[in-house]
Amino acid sequence: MSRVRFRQINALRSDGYQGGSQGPVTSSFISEALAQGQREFNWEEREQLPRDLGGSKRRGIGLGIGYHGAGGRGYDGLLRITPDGILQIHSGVGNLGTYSYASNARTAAEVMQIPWERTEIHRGRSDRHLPHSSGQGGSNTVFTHARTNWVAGQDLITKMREIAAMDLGGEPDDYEIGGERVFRSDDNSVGLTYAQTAQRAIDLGGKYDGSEYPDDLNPLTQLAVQGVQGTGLVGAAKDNIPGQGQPPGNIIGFIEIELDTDTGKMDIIDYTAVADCGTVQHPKNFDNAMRGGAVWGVGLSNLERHVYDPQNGLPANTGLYQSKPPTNMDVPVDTVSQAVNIPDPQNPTGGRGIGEPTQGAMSLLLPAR
Amino acid sequence: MNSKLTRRRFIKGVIFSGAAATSGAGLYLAQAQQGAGAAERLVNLNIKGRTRPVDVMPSETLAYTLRYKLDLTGTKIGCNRGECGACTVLIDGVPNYSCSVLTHNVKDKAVISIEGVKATDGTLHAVQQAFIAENSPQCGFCTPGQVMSAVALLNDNPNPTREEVRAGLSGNLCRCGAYEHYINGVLRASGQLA
Amino acid sequence: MPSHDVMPNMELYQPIQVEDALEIANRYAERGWLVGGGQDTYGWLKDRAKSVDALIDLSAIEELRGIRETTEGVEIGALTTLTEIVNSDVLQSNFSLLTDAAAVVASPQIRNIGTLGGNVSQDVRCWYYRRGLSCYRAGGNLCYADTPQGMNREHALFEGSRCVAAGASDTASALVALDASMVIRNQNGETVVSAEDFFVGPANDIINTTILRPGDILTTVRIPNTWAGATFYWEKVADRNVWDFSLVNIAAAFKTSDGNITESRIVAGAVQTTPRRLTTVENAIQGRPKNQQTGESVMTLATEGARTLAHNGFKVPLLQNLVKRAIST
Ligand SMILES: Cc1cc2nc3c(=O)[nH]c(=O)nc-3n(C[C@H](O)[C@H](O)[C@H](O)COP(=O)(O)OP(=O)(O)OC[C@H]3O[C@@H](n4cnc5c(N)ncnc54)[C@H](O)[C@@H]3O)c2cc1C
Ligand code: SF4
Ligand code: FES
Ligand code: FES
Repeated sequence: MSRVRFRQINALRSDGYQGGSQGPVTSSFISEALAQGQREFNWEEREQLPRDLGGSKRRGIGLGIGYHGAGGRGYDGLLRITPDGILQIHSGVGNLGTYSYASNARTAAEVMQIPWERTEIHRGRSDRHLPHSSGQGGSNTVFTHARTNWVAGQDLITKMREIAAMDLGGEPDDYEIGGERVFRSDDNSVGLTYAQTAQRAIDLGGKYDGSEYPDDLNPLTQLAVQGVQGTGLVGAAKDNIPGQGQPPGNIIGFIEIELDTDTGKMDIIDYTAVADCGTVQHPKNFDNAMRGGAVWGVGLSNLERHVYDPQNGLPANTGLYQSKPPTNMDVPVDTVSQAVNIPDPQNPTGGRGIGEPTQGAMSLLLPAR
Repeated sequence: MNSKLTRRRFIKGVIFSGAAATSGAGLYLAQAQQGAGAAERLVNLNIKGRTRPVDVMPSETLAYTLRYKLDLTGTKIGCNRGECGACTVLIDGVPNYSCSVLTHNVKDKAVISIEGVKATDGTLHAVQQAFIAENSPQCGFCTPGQVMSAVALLNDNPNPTREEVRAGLSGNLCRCGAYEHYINGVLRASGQLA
Repeated sequence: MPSHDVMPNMELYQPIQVEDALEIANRYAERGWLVGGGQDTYGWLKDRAKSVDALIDLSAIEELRGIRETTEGVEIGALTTLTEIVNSDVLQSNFSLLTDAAAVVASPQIRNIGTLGGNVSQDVRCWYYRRGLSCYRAGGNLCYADTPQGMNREHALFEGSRCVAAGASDTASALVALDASMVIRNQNGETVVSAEDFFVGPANDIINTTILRPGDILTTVRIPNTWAGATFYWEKVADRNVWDFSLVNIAAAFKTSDGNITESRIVAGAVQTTPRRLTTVENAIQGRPKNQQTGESVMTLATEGARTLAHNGFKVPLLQNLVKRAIST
C-alpha cells in the first residue's frame, strides 16, 4: 500500500476522535490534504525515483502529518459603533507577529459589512477595555475569536434593527443591514446610518449603550463594557454558538531530501505543505505561519539541542551558536504552501488555527526514505 | 607613558577608562572633559550622515552607543555575541554586528543604522517597502538587521539571484523562520519579483 | 556564568604603527590583549571569563593589512579580513584552499571584520573553558570534558594531554596544508615559523594554542608558491551551515603526474587542538592514483591512534570519510 494511502485510511476524519480523551472534532480533512499534496508534490513519480544518487548521496522522500488542537469556545466579543460611524473592535488577542488580533477583527468588519478603513482596533492594554480573550498561542485565535467577533456583531445587528423598528416602524425582522446603514428590506430608502444608530443608542441607554449587558459575560468583559458604556451602540456577547468537539489544526507535508552518508549532512530539496485549517483568513499570514513553522520543524528535529552536563549540573548552551536554531542556509527557501480551504462548519467564517502543527509536519524529514 | 612615543606619531587613540570611574556611563561632553585623558573619549560619530559628539567608554560597543547614548533604538541587541545579526549596521557600507565592534573603531567611518536607510523626506527604502509588501517580518525583532544586510547586498549587487540573496542574508538569524519571505522581499526590492 | 551586556572598563590603545603596538604589548604583557577584529575577544570579556587591563587594537595599522604577491608566493597581512581573503583574485586562482576555508568561517558579518591573524590565534571553543571554569587550560587542575559524563561531542580525538579541546580555526588547516609560514615580531625582532610549528597542543603548552607570547604580534602570513595551482580539496562539516565551528574539516593539496599522486598534504581540523597533518596517509598515497580506490584503501589510517571520548565517536568515521573524499574527488 502506498504511504499516502496508508495515512489516508488512518488519518483523523470529521467523524473521528482525537487525543487522550478521544473526544470529537469539529471537522477534519486530512485525507483531502494528502490528496492535494500528493498531486502538487508529484508523489507517485517521485516515489519511483532512484534512492541511490551515486557515491555517498541518498535520496529520501517522506511525508508527515501534524496535528494540534486549534481553538476554544465560550470567550466574549465586544464591538461598538460610535456616533462617527466607526466600528470599534475590542480584542484581547495578543500579537506574536502573526497579526492574529487584526485577522480576527476582520470577522467583525465582514459581519457588519463595513469597509476595513472604517474600523478601529483596540488592543494591547486592558485599560482599552478588552473582552475576555483566549491566549494567543496553541493555534487558538482564528477559531475562537472569529466566533466572538461574530456573536458580538450579531448582537450589534439585532440592536440596530430594534432601534430602526422603534424609530421607523415595523418589526426588527423587517430590517437588514448594508452600506453602513440599517434599512427596510422592502424599501431601501427607509433606514438609519450606523452613525445615527450609535447616537440613538446613547439616547436610549440600557442594553443599547452598554449600561446593561448579559450576565453570562466573563467578569473581565463586564468591566470592559462598563468602561465603554455610553459611547455608542455596544455589542457584547459570549460565544454560545452551539456545537461540540475540538477544532483541529491539521497539516500534511511532503519532502524530498538528499542525505550524505559520509557526513550525516542533509539537504532539503523540496518541501510541499498543505494545511487543513478551514477557510484561510489571511493568506499572507497563513504563508508566514506555514513557513515559519517549517523552519522550526527543521530546527527541532535536526539541529537544536540542549546540552547539559549532569555531573556538574551545567547547561552548555548559553548561546545561540550552541543551541543552533536554523539559519537560512539550513532550511529550504523555496517551498510550496497551500490549504485545502474547506470551511469548518462550526466557525461562521470557516477558519481553524494553523501554527504549531506546521512544526510537526516538517519533522518528517527524519524518517524520509 | 613612554616618553619616546610622541602622541602625534603613535596614537590614533588612547582611551583611558579613568574618567569613567568618576563620571559613569551615558554622559556627555561637559562632564566628561574633567577626567584624565577624557578628551580622547570624545568621539565625533558620523551616524546617518550627521556628525554628533559622544562620550564613549574605551570598551563600549557600537550597539551600546547607538541605543543607549544616541537613543537610536532601531538597532536591536539579540545575543550581544555576534551570533544573531539583529544588531547589524553598515560601517562604510559594510554590514557588521554593532554588538561586536568598538565605537572607538568607527571614529572616522560612516555608520548607517536602520534609522538612516529611509530617504530624507521619510520615504521608506525600497527594501523596507518590499518587506512590507511581502509581509516579511513576523515578530519584527530581526527585521532591522535583515534590512541592513539587504541594503548592503543590493548596493553591491542590484540584481542578485535567489541564492545570492540567501547568502547575503545568512548572517541574520530569524527565530520566526521568515527567511523565505525576507528573500522574496529582497528580490521584490530589486525589481525581480512583482 | 555571569553574562553582561557591557565589557568591563579598561584602557584602549589604537596604534597606527607596529613599533608602537609592540611597545605597548610588551609593556602590558599578559595584562594586555591584542585585538584584530575582536570577534573572538569580546565574548570572553563580556562573559568575564577573562579580563585584562588594556585592549591593543591593531586594526588601524595599515602595514598589517593587504595581500601582496612576491616572487616566492603571497604575503597576507595578519590584519587582512576574511572577506578580503575570500575576494582576493590571486588567492582564488592560486590558493583556493584558503579562500574556500575562509568563506565558511562563521557568518558574513564576522568575516567582514574578523582577521586572518585573529582567526588562527583564536582560542579553543571548549564550552567548559569558555564559561570561565578553572580547568587545566585556564590554569586549574582538572578537565571537565574528559570525564565519563562530560559533554564532549566537539572535543578532540588525538593528542589530548590532560586537555582534550579541539582547535576552532578553519583557516589553520588550510595554512598548514599550504606550507604557510608565520611572521612574528616582538621588540627583539622578527621570527618566522612554519604554520605547523605555530600551533601548539596541550602536551607542550596547555594554556596557549599558538607559540605567540605576550609581546608578540603576528604580522604576516606567507604562502609559498610550492602549492600554487595544485589540486585542492576543502570540506567543513558542521551542524549548521552558518555560525558553526567545524566538527571535522579537511584541507588537502595534491600534485599529480599522469593521475598519480606525486606529493600531497592532508590536514584535518577540529580533531585535536592543532591542525593535524595526516602524514601516514600522505605517505601511503604517494605514487598511487588519485581515485576512490586509493581513498578507500587508506582512509582508516587517518584515525589510527584516535582516542574517542563519550560523545565524539562519530568523528572517527567522519574523518575517515573526509579523507576518502579528499583523495577520491
Ligand atoms: C558565533 C561565532 C561563530 C564563529 N564561527 C567560526 C567558524 O566557523 N570558524 C572559525 O574559524 N572561526 C569562527 N569564529 C571565530 C572567530 O571569531 C573568527 O574566526 C575571526 O576570524 C576571529 O578574528 P578576529 O580578528 O575577529 O579575532 P580577535 O578576537 O581580534 O582575536 C582573536 C585572538 O587572536 C589574537 N590576535 C589577533 N590578531 C593578532 C595578531 N596579529 N597577532 C597576535 N595575536 C593576535 C587576539 O589577541 C585574540 O586572542 C566564530 C566566532 C563567533 C563569535
Ligand atoms: S578540554 Fe581543555 S579546555 Fe576543555 S575543560 Fe578540559 S582542560 Fe579545559
Ligand atoms: S546582537 Fe549582535 S549579533 Fe546578536
Ligand atoms: S521576524 Fe521574528 S525573528 Fe525574524
